[in-house]
Amino acid sequence: MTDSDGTAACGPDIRAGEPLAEVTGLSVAFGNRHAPVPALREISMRIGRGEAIGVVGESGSGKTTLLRSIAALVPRPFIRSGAVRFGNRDLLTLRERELATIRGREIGMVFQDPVNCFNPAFTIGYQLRRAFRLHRQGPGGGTNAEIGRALDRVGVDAGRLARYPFEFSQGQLQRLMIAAACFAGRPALLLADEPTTSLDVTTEAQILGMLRELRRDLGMALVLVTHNLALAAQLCDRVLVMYAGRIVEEARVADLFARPAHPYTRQLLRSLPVLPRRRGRLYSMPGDPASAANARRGCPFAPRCEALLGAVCADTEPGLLPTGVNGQLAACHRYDIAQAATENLAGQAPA
Amino acid sequence: MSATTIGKPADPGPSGEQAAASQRNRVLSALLHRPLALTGLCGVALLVLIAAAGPLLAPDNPDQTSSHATAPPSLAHWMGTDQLGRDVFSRMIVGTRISLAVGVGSTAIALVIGGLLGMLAGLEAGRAPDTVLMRAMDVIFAFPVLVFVPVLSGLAIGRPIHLGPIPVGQLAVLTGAISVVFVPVFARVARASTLAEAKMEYMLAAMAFGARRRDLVFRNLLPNVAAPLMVQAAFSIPLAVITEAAVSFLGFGVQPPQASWGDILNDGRNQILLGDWWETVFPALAIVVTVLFFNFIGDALRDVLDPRARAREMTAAATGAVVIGDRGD
Repeated sequence: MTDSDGTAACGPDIRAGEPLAEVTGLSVAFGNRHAPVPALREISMRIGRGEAIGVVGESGSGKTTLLRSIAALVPRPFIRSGAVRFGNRDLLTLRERELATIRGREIGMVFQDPVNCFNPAFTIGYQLRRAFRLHRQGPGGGTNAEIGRALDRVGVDAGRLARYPFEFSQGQLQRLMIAAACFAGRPALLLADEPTTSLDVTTEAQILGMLRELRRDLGMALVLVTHNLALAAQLCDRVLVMYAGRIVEEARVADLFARPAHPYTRQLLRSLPVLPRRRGRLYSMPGDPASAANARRGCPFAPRCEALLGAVCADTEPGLLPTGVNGQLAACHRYDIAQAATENLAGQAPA
Repeated sequence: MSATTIGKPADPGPSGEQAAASQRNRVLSALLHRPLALTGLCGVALLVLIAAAGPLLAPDNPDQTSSHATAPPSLAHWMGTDQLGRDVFSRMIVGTRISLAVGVGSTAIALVIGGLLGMLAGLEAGRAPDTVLMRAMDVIFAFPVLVFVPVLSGLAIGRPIHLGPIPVGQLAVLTGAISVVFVPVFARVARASTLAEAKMEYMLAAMAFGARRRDLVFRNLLPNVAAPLMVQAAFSIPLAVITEAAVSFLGFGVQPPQASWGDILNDGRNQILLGDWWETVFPALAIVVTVLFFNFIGDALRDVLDPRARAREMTAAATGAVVIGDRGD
């Protein structure tokens, strides 16, 4: 935690160079062909080398599905369209055998609930050793010394390797999972699915500091799924806001907080408690979270939107449009109106 | 640990085998602390000893007829003699081997075959292999045991059945037939646990860390499916012993002069009417006691291996409540 927040927040420029990974036109629907339950709709995102991206949204907005899709952990039949390019491969077309050499080795993953991620029947040492050996053939792979060094980095006593998962606290298990995710392979990309949701705030702060340090030292890109905007703000360069299985806003962290473009983001930010406390009740967003499963005509956020533009919101679904600031994108009709207006002006000017 | 052990090619540390061993120790010590389980363990150990030593323990030649026919229990013949004057106690001891071997053998076969089929079905849940396998299990399940086993076993009386070039003796056929009957139970247990395990997050986590399907099945799934299968086995062994006894009682099992408990029961059937109780009571007692011993172990194993039961116990202990009738799952 000695690094300045500045270095973590700036990161490499998001548009510069070849991205580490790129998701294009990804649509996922669970259920069978006759009764599909859409979870993700036409998601596209780029992950730059060493970049930290936060994915925020309410429960059911598709954050976790998106994260699992990036590791190709969503069963193939549910992927309706799209590609996940990592390096020069499309992960969604690889066979399981090939994926097994990428997962853990080039893409590390940290899950939400560390307690359930360890098999209760085996000691921690046994499970870590297995994770390490998966990616280190030959002698020297997964030795206690190597695992001990990894545990040193995450601050868990290496003398406790012979213990079972139930003998560890949640925070320690999360540290162990992070150790396995970061050091078993040499991942260029770390996927973290609400890594601190099940932890208390003190532990959360420690884990976040640790994640930031590890990311800096190992040069990993990070995709952090969370429903906690503050978390994304602390750790990420760029934030994707998801709603009903779609990306509704994409912005640099500073821009998102300074000038939220989508009404959903604005209402989301308004519902955060701020100190010193203003008078009156804390704002609470009306309506229920929409899920991608019950799709409606028009903009999915329209029923809860407090900045409706009129019939267009109820009739047509807005695309993800540039807002004109720093590559910020938002899926709201106000920007296509703005765009149309500028185009009109541009068209009329010569006449 | 990290600094001192660098450079050693093989670090001493708890390996997988040792982890498994410590799990076994935990289970064993938990069993030893329950009086009923301890009784069951000692009883089964005694039975195994008797089965192993067999003829060495028998005071008389079990097949030797004598003029002391249908004599009641006495110092010379602890359990009396049968119609042919054979010593019932000696026959009981020799019969232990067959009864146990058939019971344990058939259960072991059913455990392996049923377990593997069930895991396969569970992994393919909802797809064709699952449907075909489990419907086949239903068919076997629907077949009356006491028709199926005697018929198969009866076919082999006097002449071995040839499976290709391999002759299969009657005892082996009997064991195999009983194991077929028990396969569906194990398949269902294995399938159900596989379904439950496959949903666990650690399976997904293992995949996310790059584990292959083989690793997932044999290093994550199998050890966790094994526990309920072991419990099922503890309850199936006595059932298999009873089945063997029943089939032998019907005359389609062990053939004379060989002795098994059911076969001795069968011999004594006619004597009951004459008031000569000893030839039926002792084998019946032996069967009952054996079933009890195995059930004690099964009960305790279930409690020890099932984490939910352990949690319930701890809650009960913490709240001072008594868990009553907490048997069914």
